[in-house]
Amino acid sequence: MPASTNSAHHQLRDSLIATIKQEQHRLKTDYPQTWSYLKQFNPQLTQVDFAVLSPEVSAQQNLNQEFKPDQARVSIEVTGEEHAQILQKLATLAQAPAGQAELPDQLYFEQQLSDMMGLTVTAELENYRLPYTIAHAQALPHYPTHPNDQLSAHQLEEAGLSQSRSTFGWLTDKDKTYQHEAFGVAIPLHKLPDWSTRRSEYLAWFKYRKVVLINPARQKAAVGLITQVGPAHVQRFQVGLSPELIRATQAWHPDSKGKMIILLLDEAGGKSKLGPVPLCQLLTGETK
Amino acid sequence: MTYNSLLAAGLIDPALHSLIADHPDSIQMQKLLCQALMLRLLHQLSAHSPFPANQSLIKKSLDLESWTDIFQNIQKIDKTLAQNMVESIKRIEFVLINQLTESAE
Repeated sequence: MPASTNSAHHQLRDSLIATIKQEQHRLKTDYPQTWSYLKQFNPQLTQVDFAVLSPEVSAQQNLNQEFKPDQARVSIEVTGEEHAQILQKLATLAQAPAGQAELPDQLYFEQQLSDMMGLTVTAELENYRLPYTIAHAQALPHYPTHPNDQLSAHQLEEAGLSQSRSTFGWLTDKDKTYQHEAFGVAIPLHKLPDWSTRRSEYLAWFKYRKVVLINPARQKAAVGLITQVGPAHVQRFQVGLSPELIRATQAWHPDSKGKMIILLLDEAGGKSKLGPVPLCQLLTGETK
Repeated sequence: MTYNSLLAAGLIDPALHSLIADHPDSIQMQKLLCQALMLRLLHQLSAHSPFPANQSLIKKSLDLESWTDIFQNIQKIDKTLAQNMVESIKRIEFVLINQLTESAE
């Protein structure tokens, strides 16, 4: 190899290492908190150990110490202590007035909940958002799935049977009838922006769209799907839950007073079952 | 963030790519470049919203391997920030090429 080429190779390597050191120094000086976080969760980015080694030694060392994108993946495991902290923050958030969470809170909880639950939950999906992510839940009665439906055909008969069918009509798919009725959620879609002009678009997108309901006060979560537009009294209730979901999430419990966090479920990575889901896989030992 | 995803997005300067590709330890050079770029990205995320408000975004950005995914994720939050990151990547590469050219001369 010509000496000039060899020198150019060394120069490239040295320049890259110098750039890394410069960027590290900038980050460390300007944003020490980010730097500390990085040192804890991704120490590879904060090191250039091979920079002090000679090229000959570093060549071998780099095989073991090189920066690997795979290693840069932040561990998604959540310790018990972190889990308790997150739940505490969630419980505080759930007690806030009904509406949308602040953006930093929203991003934080999206990430934490996705990691904890092993599901991808998000406040915004395909540029659509729910009108409320923090909501007070109303217990709804059962909804008839076909014109001759009787209360006796449903579990939890004490919830009663509505006289009207769901917003999206009768359920014609026999395999899904029970699941769709049992885990139905009413969302006040009419509170979405431009409802009057985008009504059909919203209805088409939100029809049977899965949502994750979280009751942090009782550490309960469930997957439901949107079958209704409602509740009618949005000032008081911002989400309606089927009798089965009220039980699954323990929304009735005095600790929660019906306050829930609702997020959209992104099923791009695979389908999720309806019904109760563990809030933390780590504690239950379940896997995705 | 991987070098190949940056390359696919057209964000690696051809001159720099040529130098990296010719290097006997090409993979190592790719990783060093990615490390430098990721550090700059983190600096910009911190400038946009201080820690811990940006924690989730940092985590997500570190977790994603594709630059396109990272870019789209940031674009959802702030389109200008995402565009500034593209400019920063280009600027770092520009400075690197300049340094290398000057030392060669």
